[in-house]
Amino acid sequence: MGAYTVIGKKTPKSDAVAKVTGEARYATDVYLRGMLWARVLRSPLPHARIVRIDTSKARALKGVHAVLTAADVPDARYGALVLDMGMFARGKVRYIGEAVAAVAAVDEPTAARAVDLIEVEYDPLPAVFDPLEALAPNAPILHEALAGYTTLFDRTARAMQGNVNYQAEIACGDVEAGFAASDFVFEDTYQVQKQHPSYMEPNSTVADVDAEGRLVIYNTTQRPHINQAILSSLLGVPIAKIRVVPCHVGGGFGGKNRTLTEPTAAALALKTRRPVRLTFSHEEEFTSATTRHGGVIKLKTGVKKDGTLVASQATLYYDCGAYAPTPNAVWLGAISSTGPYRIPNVRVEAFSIYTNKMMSGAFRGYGAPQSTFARESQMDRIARELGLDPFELRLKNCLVEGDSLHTGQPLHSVQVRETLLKARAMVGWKGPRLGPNRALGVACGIFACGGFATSSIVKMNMDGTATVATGAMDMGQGLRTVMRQIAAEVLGLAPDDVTVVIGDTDLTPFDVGIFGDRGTHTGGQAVKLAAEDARDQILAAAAAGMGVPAGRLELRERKVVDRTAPERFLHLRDVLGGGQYKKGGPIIGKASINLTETAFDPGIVRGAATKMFSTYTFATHVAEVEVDPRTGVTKVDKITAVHDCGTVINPDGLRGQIIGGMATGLGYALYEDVIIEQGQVQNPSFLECRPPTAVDMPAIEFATVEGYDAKGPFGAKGVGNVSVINIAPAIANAVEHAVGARVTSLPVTPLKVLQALGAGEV
Amino acid sequence: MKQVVQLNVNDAEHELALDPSRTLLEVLRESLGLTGTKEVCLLGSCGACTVLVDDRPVLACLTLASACQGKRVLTIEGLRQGEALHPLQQAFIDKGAVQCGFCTPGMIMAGKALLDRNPHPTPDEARAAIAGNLCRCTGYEQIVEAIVAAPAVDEAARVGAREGGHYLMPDMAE
Repeated sequence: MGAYTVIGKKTPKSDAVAKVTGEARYATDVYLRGMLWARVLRSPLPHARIVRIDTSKARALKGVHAVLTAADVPDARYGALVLDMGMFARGKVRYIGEAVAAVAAVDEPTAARAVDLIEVEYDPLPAVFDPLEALAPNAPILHEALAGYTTLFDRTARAMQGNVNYQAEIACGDVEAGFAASDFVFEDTYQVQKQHPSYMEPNSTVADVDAEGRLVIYNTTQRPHINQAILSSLLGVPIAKIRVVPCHVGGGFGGKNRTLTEPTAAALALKTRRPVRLTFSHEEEFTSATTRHGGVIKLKTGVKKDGTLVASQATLYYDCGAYAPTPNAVWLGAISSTGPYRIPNVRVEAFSIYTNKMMSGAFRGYGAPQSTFARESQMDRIARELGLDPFELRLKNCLVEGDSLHTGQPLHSVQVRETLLKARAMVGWKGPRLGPNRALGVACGIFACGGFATSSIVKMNMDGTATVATGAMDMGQGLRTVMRQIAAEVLGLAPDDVTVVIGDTDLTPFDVGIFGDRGTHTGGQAVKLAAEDARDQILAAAAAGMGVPAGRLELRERKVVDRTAPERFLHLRDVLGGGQYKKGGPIIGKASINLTETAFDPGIVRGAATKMFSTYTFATHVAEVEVDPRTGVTKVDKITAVHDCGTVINPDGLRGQIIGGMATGLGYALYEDVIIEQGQVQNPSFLECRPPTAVDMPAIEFATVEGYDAKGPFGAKGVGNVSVINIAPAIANAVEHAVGARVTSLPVTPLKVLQALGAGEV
Repeated sequence: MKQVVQLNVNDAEHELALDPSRTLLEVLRESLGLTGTKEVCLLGSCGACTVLVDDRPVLACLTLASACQGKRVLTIEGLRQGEALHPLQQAFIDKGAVQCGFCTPGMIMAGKALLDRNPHPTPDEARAAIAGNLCRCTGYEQIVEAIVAAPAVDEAARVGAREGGHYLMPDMAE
C-alpha cells in the first residue's frame, strides 16, 4: 500500500553502534558512587510457616547497612490480574527460592555472608507440585486468603477457588450437539513443560535516592510505567516521587514484563539513603524469576468424515507456580486453543493453578505455545486417521476474512490460507514422508496481536529534526528503530533525523508494557498518530508563511512542499527554527490510544482477562526432521516459515524476530525443560538447561504474505510471538511421520521417542 | 593479601593491587570500568564474557586476572580504531546481527578470534566458532552472516581508503 521512502527499507538499528562497541549501558553496567550491594535470603522449603526470623547477627556484621524482612515493609501485594505477591514472604513461604529477607552491604561478599547469618525457623507444611493434584478437594491450599485478594478482571466466572487463581470460560454454539453431529470424536491429553526465557542479561536494578528525595530506578524492564505504579503501591511512595530510567534491555521475551528486583532495591535504598544494586545470580534466574507455564491440555474434537471441524472442547490446566504474576497466559492459551480454524461449536475452560513451585509468567508466545502444541498435534492425528493430507485438512477449516473467532471477536486481515498455500509451495509438498526416517511436519497458528493503552509525543526541533518520546520499551527487538522509521516516514525525514527517547518515566508518556505483539502494532501506531499531529501543525504554520492552503502542502525531504508546484517549498528548519524563534513554538504532536476497547460478549466469554485484541497474526511452519529410531534422537534439518504480518517496516528486524522465534521454539520442542522435583529446580543453569546454540540451528527459509492491517501503522502487525508457537507441533508431527512415534508431551526427548516406538501411541 | 599485577588491556598498561582470587571479568568491569564485557552465568556456559588473551578467546569469568600478567588482553572496547569500527563490528550492523546486544561483545570477540586465524571462514566454521556463545534473540543466522561477510567489509574499507571515498555494502546500496 503506497510508496514509502523509509517504511520497508533496510534501516540499521539506531543503537547498533553502541552495542557493537560495548558502549551500550545495561542495568548491570550502572555503578554509582557509594553504591551498596544487595543479596536476598530465599526459602529452602516449598511450603512452610515462618515461625521466627532473627536478623540480629546479620545486622551486627561489619559492612552491613540494612536488613529487611516483611516486617519492615508495607503489607502490600501486587500482580497482573490477582494481587497476590508481596516484596517478601509474609507468614509463610510458598516455593523454594521465595524472597524472605534482603541485605544491603558494602560489597557483594559481605551481603552474601550477612544473608547466611539470618536465622529463620520454619514449620513445614504439606506441599503440592502438580496442577491437577492441586485441584483435588483435599489439596494443600497455597493462598488461604485468595478470595479476599484484589483482582483486576471480570470475576463472573467461578474464579478463585482453592488453588485456582484465575479461570476463563468460552462457549459458542452447542458443543454437545456438535459432538453428536460429528462422524468422529478425538480425545487427547497433552503435557507441556516449564521453559525459561533465558534472556542473557540477568534481572538487575540500581535504586538511588536523589538530592530531592526522589527514588530513581535504573533497571531492565519491558514496562517502566507499570514498574513506577507498582513501586508506588508497594512502598507507599507517590508516583511523582519515583523515576524509572530503564537501561538498554539485554533481552526480555516477556520475562522482563515483571517487577522482581526493583521493589527490594528501592526499599533498601530508601532505608539506607544510598544507591543499592540488586542483580539476580544465574541460579536465582532459574529459581526465583519466571518461566513459561507448564501444564496439561485436554482436547476433544468432533469432525465430519470429510475433515470438517464441528465441535471442540478444550480444558487448559496451566501451572502458574506459587504466585500468579501473569495468569493472563492461560487466557491467551484459550484464545489460541482452537487454532486458526472455523469451529462452530466450542467450549474452552482455562485454569491458572497455584502449585508450590517457582513462578510461571509471560514468555514469548504467552500461553499459546502450549495450546497450539495440543491443537496442531491433534490436527495431524485427525488427518492421519481420516486419511487426509495434513495441509488439506488445515486449508479446509482455516479462518478467512470476515470470520469471527470462538470468542465472538470479528477478525480482519486474515491471511492464514495464504500462509498455508505459500508454505506448501515452498517445501514442494508431496506428502509428509521424505524417505526412511525423514519427514516433514506442518503446524499453523494464531496469536492475539496488539492492544491496550499507549501514548506518544513527537517534538519538533529547531533544526527540523524530531524527537519521539514513548513509554513503549525496546527490549532488544529493535522498537527504537521501527519508531524512528515511522516518524521519519510521516514527517518527510530520514531515520537519522529522528531521536527516540524511550522508557524514562520523567520524559515519556504512559505505556502499559511491551508484550503480546503490541510494540510495532500499537506503540508504533501511537507514534504515527503523534507524528501526524505534528505534521498537521507544521503544515498550518507553513501555510501562513507560504500563502498556500495547508491542504496543498506536504512534507518530504526535510521540506514543506506545495504539492501543486513542487518548486515552491520551505525548509523544515526554517519553518521550525524561524517560527519557534519568532513565536516561541513549540510544535509538539501527541497521541494517546487504546486498541483494546471492545468488551467480549459475556454470553460467550466469562472471566475475560482483557477486552478484544486489536487484531491477530497467523503463520504456518514446516519442519523437516530426521529421526534415528535406534537412539530416538531427532535432528531438525530445516524449518520453513510463512508469516502473515501485514506491512513489513524493518526487513532485518522482521528476519531477526522470525528466526529468533524459531530458535526458542526449537529449544521448547526438543530439550529445554526446567525440571522440578519436590519443588526444587534440578537444572538451574545454562549448563544444564541450555537454549539452542549456533550449531543446533537448522537451515531456515521464510517468507511473508501480502497483507495490510488497518489498525496498525502503515498496515503492520506483530511477529514476535507467532514465530514461536508452531515450532514444537511442527517438529512433533514430523517425528511421527518419520518413524511413527507420536509424542504428546514436550519436550520431544529421545527417551520419549523410543518409548513411543516401543509402545505405539503414548 | 593483595598481589600486584601488571595487565596490558587494549594496549594500555595497568598496575593493579588485586586479591589473587579476582577474575579477569571482575577486574575488567569493576577495576577498569570496561563494562562492555558482559557478566551472565559465571560458569563458562554462555560466552558473554569472551575476550582475547594473546589473540586467543578466553572466558573472562573463569580466568584469574593474575594469570594474565604479561599477556595482551583485548576487549570489545579495544576493537575500534579511533572512530573507525572494526570490519566485524560494521558487518554486525550491516547484517542486522544485533538485537538486545548483550551477547554481542562476546560474539564479536569469538568471531574476531576465528577471523584472525581463518580470514575467510565458511558459515559452518563461523557456527563452530560461536558454538560456545549463547544468543536468545537472533537464532544466530545474521551473526553467522556477519562473520562470513566481515572480510568483504574489510576489503571494501581498504579500497575505499585508497580511493578516498566511502564504501557501501552491496545490499546497502540498493
